[in-house]
Amino acid sequence: MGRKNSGLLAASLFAILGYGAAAEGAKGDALFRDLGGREGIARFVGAAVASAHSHPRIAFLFEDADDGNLKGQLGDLICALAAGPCNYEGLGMREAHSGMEITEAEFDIFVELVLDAMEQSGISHSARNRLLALLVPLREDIIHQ
Amino acid sequence: MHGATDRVGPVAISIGLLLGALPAMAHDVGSRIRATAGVPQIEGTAGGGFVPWAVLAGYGQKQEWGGEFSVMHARTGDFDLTIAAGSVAFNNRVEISAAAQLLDIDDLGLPDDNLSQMILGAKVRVAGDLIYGKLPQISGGVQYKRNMDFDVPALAGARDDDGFDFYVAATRLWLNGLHGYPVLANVTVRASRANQLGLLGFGGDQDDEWEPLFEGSVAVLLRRDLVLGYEYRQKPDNLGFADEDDWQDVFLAWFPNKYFTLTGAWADLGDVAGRNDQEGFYVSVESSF
Ligand code: HEM
Repeated sequence: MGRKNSGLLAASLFAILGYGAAAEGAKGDALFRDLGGREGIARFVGAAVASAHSHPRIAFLFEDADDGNLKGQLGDLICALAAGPCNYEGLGMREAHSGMEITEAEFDIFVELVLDAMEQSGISHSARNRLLALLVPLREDIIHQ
Repeated sequence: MHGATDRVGPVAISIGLLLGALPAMAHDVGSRIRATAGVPQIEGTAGGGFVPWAVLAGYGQKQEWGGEFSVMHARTGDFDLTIAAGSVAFNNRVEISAAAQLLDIDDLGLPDDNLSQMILGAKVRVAGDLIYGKLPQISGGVQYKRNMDFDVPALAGARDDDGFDFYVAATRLWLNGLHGYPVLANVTVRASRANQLGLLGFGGDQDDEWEPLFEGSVAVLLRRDLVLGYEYRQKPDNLGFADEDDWQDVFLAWFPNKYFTLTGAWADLGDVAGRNDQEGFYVSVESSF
């Protein structure tokens, strides 16, 4: 076989995987600050909830929502996940979304609206992905409840 | 020097774009997150450029369908390769694909000016997900390839004008990756007897075995719309008349939105059909629907 440099491939795969794993650890409240603090978080959460209300495929899920409560709780949760100075005191994710039967597709649509809102309010690519990495594990408690 | 393919490439690309734009306008693109559809792979499935990934074409999530059209053109010192492909995926579970490959061998002074083949592919997501849950996305795939210009491959010692490739791919995207720059890794293991993808037929005088071939990709999302990647693809070496080398490429893919992807790459194909050190570039355009 023409195996020219399979070793290089293996080495780079492992180097990147290793580095990726090492980078997962939390580093103080850097993410909270990169998200623009409480104000920054409130801005993109507000924008994301507003666009959810006008999205043709997920608006129906938000029709009966108490927007003030939702924005406040979601903001607190994100602030807490980002190691900011907040406590999340709202419902657990299963309870909060029970009866909604959110699908995988609806979940992804909402995630993209949050990403859009963050991008539009000037939050960096790195901060957006660091937050997304913290939200992704919540999916199993949010969909199909 | 490059004869007809000089025109075929750009024309095919324009036709592909037009074709692609039609379904894109008629069908709501799926819900999966931008860039998670990967880029068009040379054998018609979703992947990196050279390596099939476990992800399925288009952006369809469960309960959705989607797919893509793509055109690709590669040029090295002595060869031009043009590829047109289309694929559909259902329920983020099953993907069906078709591709046509045309390799211009004008310069070699052989009885044919072109080598070509058709590829039909199927891929099934078996477990996991690219980003969600604990397991990477794992898919199994099969490609049926039929060589359409078998005279030259037969002269070169190839045994068959058609053949199957089977592969298993595992792909994961770590969102946190390199401090917030998401990192993708893919490993694919393939069983194949295909010479130069199948363009030089299947099996050969020197070696006629099924061997496991290893392929891998790493990529980083530099921006939400920009992916930089490296790929390596091990190749069989079945024909006595010329060495077949492993392939590698470095690609940059641009995802301005979920309907369109443009990829440019530097590719190193090593020795191909007796021509040494075939390095060059490829460009692919893709439209998702
Ligand atoms: C990462 C994803 C998500 C997070 C972190 C999240 C978080 C939250 C939180 C904190 C609440 C408020 C709980 C409380 O009232 O105490 C909530 C409620 C709610 N969420 Fe989500 N959610 C997510 C995804 C989704 C998705 C995908 C949808 C729909 C497509 C959705 C729709 C709703 C609705 C409609 C409410 C109820 C609002 C109300 O009745 O006041 N959520 N969510």
